[in-house]
Amino acid sequence: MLKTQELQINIGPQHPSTHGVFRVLVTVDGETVVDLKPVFGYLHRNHEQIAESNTYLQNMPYTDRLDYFNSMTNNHAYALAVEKLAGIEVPERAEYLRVIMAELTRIFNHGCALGFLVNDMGAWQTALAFGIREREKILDLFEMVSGARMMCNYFRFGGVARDLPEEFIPRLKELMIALPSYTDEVEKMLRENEILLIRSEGIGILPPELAISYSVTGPVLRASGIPYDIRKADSYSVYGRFDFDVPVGTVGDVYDRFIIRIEEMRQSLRILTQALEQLPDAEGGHINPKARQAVRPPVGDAYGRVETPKGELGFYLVSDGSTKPYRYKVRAPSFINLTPLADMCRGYKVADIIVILGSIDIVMGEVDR
Amino acid sequence: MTVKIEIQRGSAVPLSRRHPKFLGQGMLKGMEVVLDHWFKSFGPKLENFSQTAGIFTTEYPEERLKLAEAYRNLPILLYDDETGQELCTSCLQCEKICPPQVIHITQTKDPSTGKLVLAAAEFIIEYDACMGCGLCAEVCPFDSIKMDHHYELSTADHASLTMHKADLLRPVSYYQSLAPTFWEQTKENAYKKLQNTVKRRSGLLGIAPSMVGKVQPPETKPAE
Repeated sequence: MLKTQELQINIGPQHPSTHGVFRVLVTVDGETVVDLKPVFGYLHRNHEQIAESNTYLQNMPYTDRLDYFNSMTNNHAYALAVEKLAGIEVPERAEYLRVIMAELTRIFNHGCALGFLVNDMGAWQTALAFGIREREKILDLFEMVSGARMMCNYFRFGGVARDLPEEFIPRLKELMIALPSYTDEVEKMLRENEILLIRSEGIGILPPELAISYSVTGPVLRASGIPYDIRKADSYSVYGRFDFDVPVGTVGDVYDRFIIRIEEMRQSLRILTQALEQLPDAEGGHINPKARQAVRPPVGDAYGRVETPKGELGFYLVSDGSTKPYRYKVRAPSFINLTPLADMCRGYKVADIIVILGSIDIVMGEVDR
Repeated sequence: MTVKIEIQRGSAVPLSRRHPKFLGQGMLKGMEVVLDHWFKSFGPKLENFSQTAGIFTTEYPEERLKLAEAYRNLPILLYDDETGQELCTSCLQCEKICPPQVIHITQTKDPSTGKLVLAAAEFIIEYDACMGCGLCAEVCPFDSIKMDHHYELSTADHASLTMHKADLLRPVSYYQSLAPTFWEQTKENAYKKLQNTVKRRSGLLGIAPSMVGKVQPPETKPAE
């Protein structure tokens, strides 16, 4: 009889597969994962405390840096929270601009998330290059409207920072031709790929009960079979005016989390098409003129949340009537989606940890804050 | 477990799990896509956003993308080309809004009267800590602070990234070449405000250091 013993190994904190500075402490029995402990906090930068010493508007550029992939949706959540707190109305055109930016963000985030997931499985860079190609085009559009590619800082309380430049709409319409063919291409390339199926089917199953009890949101929750999308469940902005479906998974494994992102890109494209058709002309203005001054909300609290590509991002703000938030709390989807990692990995092989982690789609800037 | 969530204008669509009919079919399909792209990579460069195949790399130092007008990198200050008058009145709006607090302004005092003059004596921006959010340019009521398009700022000398007023000042014509339509929108307002400002300045106060000696200072107005 061979004498065996359990072994503790560290993955990370600096490891290319951990998507940032993130440590996983794994107990293994041979190749099988017995237990796993995620360790985070390496990227902690005191975001919430800094925000409490800043005025409301000063926090807007800081929210870009939470989930540095999707700065537009981060801005959206924060703007919603402050608008709720201070009772600011948003002109219709601004709402549509916000939706367009948010859906473009979702498309490139999912495209790159797929690429990174396939990267983690060992198909080095090919799928990712496709995602990055489309992302570059979208970032060009973001640069055109906001001035920056990643740290957009585009949203303001009561609207957006500036209206679209002339060349934006024609460029976006060009892009709308490319994106459907891109999603089809990715699907054709990967959906039935045998290696991907072996690596992802039945791996990292997250049962719906567990997903709910961990309060997981976003594509990870929907892949477990629960059709919970804040755009539908608690419709904000003008999402109530668009027809789109909520794709849900059937098993809740890595493969479901993979294909749900392809389907969500398609739904985002549907929303984009409708938003472009309905976009009101520039007469209505892109920002509420009354809301430009420093915000001084009345005493109270508000919670603003949006469906970011990673899940529910919420900002909980408490106002004491001054120009600075008394309390500023971020409900970060990446952080909460990461907590069931141990339950998802237990019983699978060491190599599956990387794939399961990749399928959650985390950004460490948001996990640690 | 059944969870019922009402969905309006759309429905919850269960994902279908497709499997290849024979071993290798999925991989062959994928190879087809990759091979198609490989052939097209010998073709011309992408011309517009609607294309998905071809060369889309920009060979950076040799080729540069045209920057959007709205592009922002780090803040600069403007002065008028002809009179050399700075647009800044040291109203401290940008210093107050700056999220990382990297703008430091010293207001000017008229040496003869000891009163504040509408001009900045010193204007420091710590470029190393600036996050380039552009809020300073947005709040500036005099259109004096604008975002530069120059992005090649790497240096081995850290201290040189603390920019003083003389390093920050650029002529209006420089900003006009970066963002012609933006300047067209704000031009009138900016010059109108500058005229009012100049009335309340005297001598060389508020004239860009690089322009001193090249321009005629406005006639000193008797103190009111």
